[in-house]
Amino acid sequence: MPGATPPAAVQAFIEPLKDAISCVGIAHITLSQGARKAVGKTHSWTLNDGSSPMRLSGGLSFHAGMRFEIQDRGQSEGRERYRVSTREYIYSVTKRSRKIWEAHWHPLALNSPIDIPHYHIGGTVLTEDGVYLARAHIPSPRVSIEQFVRFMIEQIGVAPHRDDWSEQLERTESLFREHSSW
Amino acid sequence: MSTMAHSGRRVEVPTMSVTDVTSTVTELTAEQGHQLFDHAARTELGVSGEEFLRRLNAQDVPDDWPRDAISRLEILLPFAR
Repeated sequence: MPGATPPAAVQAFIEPLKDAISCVGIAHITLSQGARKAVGKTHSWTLNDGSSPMRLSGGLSFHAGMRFEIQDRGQSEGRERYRVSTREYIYSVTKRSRKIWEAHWHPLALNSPIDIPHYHIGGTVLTEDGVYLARAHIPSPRVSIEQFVRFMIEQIGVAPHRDDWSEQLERTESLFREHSSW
Repeated sequence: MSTMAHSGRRVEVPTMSVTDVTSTVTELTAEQGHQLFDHAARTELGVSGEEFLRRLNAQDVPDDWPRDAISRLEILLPFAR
């Protein structure tokens, strides 16, 4: 997401995420220190305090976070001089702390050799014959937070928090597609 | 958009948008960030943030630490800076 200044670029990046998440509840997004201005460093956002998931309807919980970077593309870019790029993401929906579905992309991780976007399917939704999938990294395309929120509402029955959730997700998703580099 | 009668004609007026006034975006201070990271490490793995970082950087992560928890904590590393 571009902006004329680092704070403007971060706002253009974070606000659509907040709007997308607000489709399933009240979104409290927490940014790491310096996240609105330090260019060329990796920053984080997380929901709530990073360890308390967002409570959804039906006893479900949602956890999400990203690492991102503000890039300076040079003065010639004018009002789009600064751009925020996602470096990693994790989205997770659980029921009573048991994993249902997670979408991960964490190429910066020191503890994982898996650097492609992937899904994790929780053992809680599998039959006994399928338990091996619980630790599998299933290759996936890049997953936007809008796709994940839409999945929670449309496929697993999370109650939307606002009447215009579908249009809202469509709006913020189109912004993401417009500025996504891959 | 919706329409309403105005001087005998139908004119388009913007539909009132739904604004979620209670959602928030908060940037932490360095000290608050360290506290968040430490709390997350204790919640996820039962160790301090400092211990998690030491183990991670030394590539000495115990086999019984859940990988998902480690991934969630790694996303939070900028809070520990």
